[in-house]
Amino acid sequence: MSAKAITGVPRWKEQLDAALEKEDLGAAIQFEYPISKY
Amino acid sequence: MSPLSESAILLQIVTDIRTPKADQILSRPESIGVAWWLPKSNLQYRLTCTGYLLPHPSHPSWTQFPAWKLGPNVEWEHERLNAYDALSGDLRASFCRPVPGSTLENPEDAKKWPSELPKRAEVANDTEKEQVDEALKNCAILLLEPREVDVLELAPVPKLRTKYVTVDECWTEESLVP
Repeated sequence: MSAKAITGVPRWKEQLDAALEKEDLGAAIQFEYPISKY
Repeated sequence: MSPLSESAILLQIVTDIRTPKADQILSRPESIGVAWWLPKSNLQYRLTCTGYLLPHPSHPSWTQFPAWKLGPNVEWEHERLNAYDALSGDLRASFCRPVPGSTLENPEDAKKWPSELPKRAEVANDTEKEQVDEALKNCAILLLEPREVDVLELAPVPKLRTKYVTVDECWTEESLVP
């Protein structure tokens, strides 16, 4: 299967956000959308 | 050149501006490889990114930070200070110790280092104030703009591996052999 285009937030980002809910990283890593945040 | 769009994904990490890693990022910002294993989720990430370092304003590389691209209306120094406060006390203290990776002549010296530092608003005395000021000089934000993300999901049988690539902020995905 070749590459297919994605609309919206890619799944890797959603998986990463969900994973970080479980991991204890001491807030060393934070994931943001800085521009849309402001 | 134009600012990133509102849908651009940037990952924010805190790092120590004194480390060799920071020099490497500053000299080749478009060639950053990041690998994470997240054991509780059984996920392995390999990212290829462009990196942007925001150190203390007194640092020589401060002028290289492209605020115009990443968010011209963002108060970035405020973000950096908040990122310091959001760390655990142990991580905050790591920024006022000697340079990570440098030679430790006498391991006993490590026992004299602070094990934790407070948030900026919770400083209790002059010693802590000096330590927090020192930590803030070394604490930098690293913003990563991923161009390629390779995710290996270790829990399913068979394992799943997917490569994501972005061009002009549009993402594609492709299944790979794990």
